[in-house]
Amino acid sequence: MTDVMKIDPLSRGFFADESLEIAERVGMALLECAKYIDIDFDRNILPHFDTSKNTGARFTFDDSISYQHHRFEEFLEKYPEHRELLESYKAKFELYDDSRRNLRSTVGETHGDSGTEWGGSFGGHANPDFGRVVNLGTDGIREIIRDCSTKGIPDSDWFYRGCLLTLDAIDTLGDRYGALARLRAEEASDEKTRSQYIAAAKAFETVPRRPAPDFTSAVLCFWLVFSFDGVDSPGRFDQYMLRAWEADCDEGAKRDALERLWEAFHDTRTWNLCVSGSDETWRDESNELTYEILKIAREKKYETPNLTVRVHRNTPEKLWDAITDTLASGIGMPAIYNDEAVCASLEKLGIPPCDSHDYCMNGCNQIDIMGKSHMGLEDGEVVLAKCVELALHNGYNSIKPRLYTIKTGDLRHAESYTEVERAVIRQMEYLTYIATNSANSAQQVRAQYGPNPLRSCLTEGCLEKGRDYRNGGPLYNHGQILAEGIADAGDSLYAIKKLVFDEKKYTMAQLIDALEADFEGYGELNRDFKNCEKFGNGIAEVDVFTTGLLNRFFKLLKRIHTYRGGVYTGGCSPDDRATYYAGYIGALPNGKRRGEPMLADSIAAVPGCDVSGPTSQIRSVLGYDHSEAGSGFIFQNKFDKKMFCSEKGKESFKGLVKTYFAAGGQQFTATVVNPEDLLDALEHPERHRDLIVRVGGFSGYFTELGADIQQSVIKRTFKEL
Amino acid sequence: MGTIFNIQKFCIHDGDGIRTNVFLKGCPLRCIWCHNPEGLDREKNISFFAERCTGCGRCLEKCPGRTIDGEGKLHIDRSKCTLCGSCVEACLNKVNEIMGYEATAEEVFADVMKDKMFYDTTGGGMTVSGGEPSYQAEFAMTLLRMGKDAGIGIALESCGIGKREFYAEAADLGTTFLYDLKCMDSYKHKALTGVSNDHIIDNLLYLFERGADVRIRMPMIPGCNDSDEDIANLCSFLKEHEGKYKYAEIMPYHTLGVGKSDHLGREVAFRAENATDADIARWVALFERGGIKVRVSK
Repeated sequence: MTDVMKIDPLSRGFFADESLEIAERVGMALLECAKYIDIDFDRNILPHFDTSKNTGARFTFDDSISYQHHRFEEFLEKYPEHRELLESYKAKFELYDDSRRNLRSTVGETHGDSGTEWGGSFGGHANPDFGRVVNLGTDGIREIIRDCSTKGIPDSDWFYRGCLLTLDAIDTLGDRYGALARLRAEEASDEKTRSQYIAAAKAFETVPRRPAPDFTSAVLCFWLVFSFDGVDSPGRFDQYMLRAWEADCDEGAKRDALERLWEAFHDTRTWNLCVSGSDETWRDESNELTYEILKIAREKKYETPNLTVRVHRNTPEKLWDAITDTLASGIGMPAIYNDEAVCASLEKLGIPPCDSHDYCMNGCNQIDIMGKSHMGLEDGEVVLAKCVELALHNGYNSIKPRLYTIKTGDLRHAESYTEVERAVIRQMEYLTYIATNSANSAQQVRAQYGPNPLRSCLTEGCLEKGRDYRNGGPLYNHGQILAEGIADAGDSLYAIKKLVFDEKKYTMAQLIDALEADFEGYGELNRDFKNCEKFGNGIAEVDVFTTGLLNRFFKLLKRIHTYRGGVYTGGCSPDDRATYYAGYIGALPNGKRRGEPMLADSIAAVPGCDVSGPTSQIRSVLGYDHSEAGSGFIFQNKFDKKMFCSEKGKESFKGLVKTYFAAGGQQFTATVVNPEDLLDALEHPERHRDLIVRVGGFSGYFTELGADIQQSVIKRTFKEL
Repeated sequence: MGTIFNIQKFCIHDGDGIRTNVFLKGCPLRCIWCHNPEGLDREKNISFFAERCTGCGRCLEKCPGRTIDGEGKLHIDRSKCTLCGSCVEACLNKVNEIMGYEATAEEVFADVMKDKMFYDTTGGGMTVSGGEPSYQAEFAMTLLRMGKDAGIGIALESCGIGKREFYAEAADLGTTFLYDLKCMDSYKHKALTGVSNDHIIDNLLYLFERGADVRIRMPMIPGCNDSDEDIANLCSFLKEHEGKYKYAEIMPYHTLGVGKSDHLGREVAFRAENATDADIARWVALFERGGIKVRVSK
């Protein structure tokens, strides 16, 4: 007979008293879960547990408590003797889901998988401040709660109770891990493992209740809470772990702990880890741990976590060298972010310098402020190239021919370029509002039904305001909508302006006929539109069509408010999505044919269109207003490995990035590959399993990428040599 | 007005920092291994990329120099070509390309200056190259002067065949010279390049004497100028003038020029495989034995 307490503890806690507010019930669910789920250590002797194991309910950072209906039958089979209990949980969650859905269906609509836009379907990444547990301990957080909860904020007692229950849950896990470590130490057959378990047992006597006294305890404590939260992003790891690193005199033990943690990051596909940066006085914040992390990334050569380095006016040359060497190792990381541009963009959102300088990255590459914000990451996406297509077909989708958006006029008879541009912008505005309305309704649902007391404890503002992380508690509650297919849209508009309205070589009717025919039988027209000057070659009068459109999109976003309590800000998506969306797009005036798997690579040129080298493309890309991109830009560059083999090459690389940043560029990523390796990897994938390339927002093993993305990587690589 | 065939941005191996290379058309030398055959003639040329041709025949209408054979393959008769460009206009597949175009120094320099911010941060600038820049001496000098006036780095890549005054004026401007040294044996030099090296060496000695910023570049062509003796001769010359040049660099042979010659319809007198790592190691060792530490151009 299975111990009944082990069955679905999350559900048991959640439904223990349905008269309570949901936030408190989530706290009860987490505590019940912490008491009864199976726990273990992983191969790195770090805590390993799954909050959804043996439970129909699960706890995730983007959805809080939800029920996995597809697993019901599985549980029934496993625990037939508890049928009644399991069925009662299922029924209760069905009612709960209904109320969520009902709220949702009253607001917002979305085109879902039509490749035009989406909004709100993902709850979003964020970077809670794990340093709070590591450096203050749960007792320290309890103290904050005590201070805040005595201020008499109306209707907040249940919120604080939910937080306290969650802290108890963390402590419970810590105690159980201490006991398990003692047991494992006794069983251990070799001395090294035994000593690691003994260290863990000792650590859990202090953490997570009190500040970690040494780095090993800090790592164990961090990993416990990080896993409980759902393995998102560590954020500014070299900053909040530094105290424990410096306090630890055992050089061997702390490096060992860091290495084990790195393995765990890789095993779990941890998202984004950010190092270095500056404070509000531009003091450089790189430290010993910064360099240790870059070193370990170089040595291990894993594709995760996604590594980010922040640079600024006072970044030491030594760090630039470490960055270049790490890139030269071929892992496509780190991504380099320019504090000067990022902080400026955050300050434009009203975030003061003391907090803007605490930014880090999450997800693929979206900007967040560690421990202070919930900014969506990301709330939605709009495909700009699709806006051009919809405008040219009067709101009809040319892939699945039906009216998709609004009729903005039959452009066959357009008399001026302005008319064309206005139609595109109307389509863009329409899709943007669909995305943001839909995102806002999803935010409302999550605010009511998805409280996250764990993140509330680790995010500044929540405890102070007595409000949940999902419900406007954090200091900053902006939202992020990304743009896709940017240069495709701009190049299309430029070609129309030039060939139809300036040179009058073709009419709009001819163009639209050709697009409908996917250029079949329009060879000369296709060539002329294709051969038009393109974004990415540093030609200001061409570039402005692309940069102008995105700047306009960003301006629009800033006027739309989030449900959480901020405004929307824009960024761009990684290029693996470009290949996805490309399949949904019909023929375009930039010469692209229906479904052709090439869309612009984030803010850069359409693959193959940048034929004038990296300096020219940099000049093009600087035409965007980087200080408006509060969600973050991705500027992906590829270099031949040979360049990183000589000092002159490395110096030139640094010079390129520094020039770009001095001129206001926000972000720079580089893939360093040997082009022959890419071609060989297509033929003999087995020989190149470790070949890592950067795909816009993240790094991935080349041989595991889809064929479309592989082709896109190759096309770009060979273009830029 | 000058004739150029390329303005190449982000060049990092032709002088200090990040640079833009301006390639001027025309060269009096005929090196059998020429890497940039599109730069040989002072006049424009047409490149014909037969492998891209679909045989559609659109170009036949206006061009008397085109014929189509029984298999539907197009051929170009260069003797009839007037470089009118009608084929470029007609073709849908970029089969034809006119190599070279006329431009004023102002136009060229405006393009060069677009990358000024990169020169400023890296100590880079403009490198005037070719062909052989002294073949369009006035144009080349105008460009260098403009660069000097704009405060960017200026460099000249030259085979050394130009008039003495040309180098004197360039040196007055503070130009960096990327100076080719192909072979010390004058007869062999004539056989390989069409000219003797007497004048070339004289000019180089003149620049040495003036204390100009000179960097030596030595193309290494397997079986042509890379015998033990050739390299020993280079070494003794370099040894004699040590300290008068910043560095000496070898440029290993590569085959890119061969394909370009084929497309230009130009006879290729010399064909070989790309220099191998073993070739390069041998050259470096031979120079070392002669007491010269050389750089290897990537």
